[in-house]
Amino acid sequence: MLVFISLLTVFYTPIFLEIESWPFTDWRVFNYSYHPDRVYVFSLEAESGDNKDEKFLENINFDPVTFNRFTYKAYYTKNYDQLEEYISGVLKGEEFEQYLKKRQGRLDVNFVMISVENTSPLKLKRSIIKQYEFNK
Amino acid sequence: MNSINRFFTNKLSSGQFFVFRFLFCIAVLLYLLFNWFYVTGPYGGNYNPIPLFELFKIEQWSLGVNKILYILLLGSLSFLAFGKLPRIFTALSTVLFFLFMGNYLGSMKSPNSNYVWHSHNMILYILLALNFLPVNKVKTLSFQSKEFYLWELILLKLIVCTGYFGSAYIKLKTSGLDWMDGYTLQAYFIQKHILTGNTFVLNFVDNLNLLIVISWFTILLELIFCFGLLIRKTEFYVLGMLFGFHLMILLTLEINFINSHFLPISTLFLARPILGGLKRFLKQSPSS
Repeated sequence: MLVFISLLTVFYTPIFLEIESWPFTDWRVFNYSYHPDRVYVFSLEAESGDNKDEKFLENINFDPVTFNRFTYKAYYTKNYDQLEEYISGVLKGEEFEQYLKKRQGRLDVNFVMISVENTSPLKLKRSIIKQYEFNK
Repeated sequence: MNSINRFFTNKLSSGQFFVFRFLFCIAVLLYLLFNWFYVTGPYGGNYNPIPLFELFKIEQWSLGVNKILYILLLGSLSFLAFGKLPRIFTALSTVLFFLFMGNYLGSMKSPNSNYVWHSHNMILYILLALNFLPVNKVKTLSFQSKEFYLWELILLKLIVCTGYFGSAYIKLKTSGLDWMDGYTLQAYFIQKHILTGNTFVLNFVDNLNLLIVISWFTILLELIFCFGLLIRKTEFYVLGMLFGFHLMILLTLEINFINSHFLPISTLFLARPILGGLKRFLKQSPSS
């Protein structure tokens, strides 16, 4: 009985105390209420003439989820220096240099905020926050 | 009082426990074998120690040491699967899994938050609990011996329920009933679509009523229905629902809990029918 109650206490108490230390609890994923009006995703997209590359981050082997997580936080905490440093870091990487070599002429990399304009049918809105020019 | 006494004295077949422990260890072993990047991943660049490592001042070890840890963990789980020195290899597997997976999770952790990804919690929970269960001294598969207490099985099942109950409790505590308003799931699905290009979620995003039903079902399953795992008559229905739930999470939110969570915990429920099948097979075989 002692083992039963002790172990139940060990495994259930962290839930109620909301302990956030692996391996205990950490169930806080997707826990907050959300609304399509508040969906703002940050990304980098490339534009060369008429060609748009909305999967630019994936094409330079960068995880869009990680990019969004970092830039979202920096943008909303108004930590613009950190944001700039982060984006510059992405655009100085070896993968980006190779991407750039493959493209002739001017290339614009846009730091965009994607939001929801309509849900039925789904329509997204892209707002360019900052543009980085290459091969001018 | 009698029912409490019965709960703590009723015994089940030791064979059921042996089969569970065998299958559980094999499930974890296969999971580790198919995920080699857990060994090399923490050495690719970004590493931020998890809070417990920081607390105990555990610094990151070299890739070579990590490879040795990995091999030791596989070896320890193999010995435990076959019932060799179960007390020693359970303790060893627990410590090695904590160190090995804790090191990997450090490579997934953000430097700006204490949050650590939780998809491997349940394996560690079960390993940790096994250390304290009297039945975990069983070394061989026996069809006659009854050393597995009912409370030990119920305890393991209740530990499995923590993952679901905790998740629903935190959702309700943080967001209340707003979490089930349909918009929450709609927003999460749209965000996933934007971030990863997932098109499966588009089947749901414009049907708010369906999203409300899915949201309520999620909370009810996590908060209440999961405890149906404790009852023999309902356990497989709940297990089926949980599989569907995890499959939906994989298809919509692209989070795979099936291999790291669902398959290892399923062994707890599959052990009894597998043991029954094994008994019938041995009875029917000509040599017996």
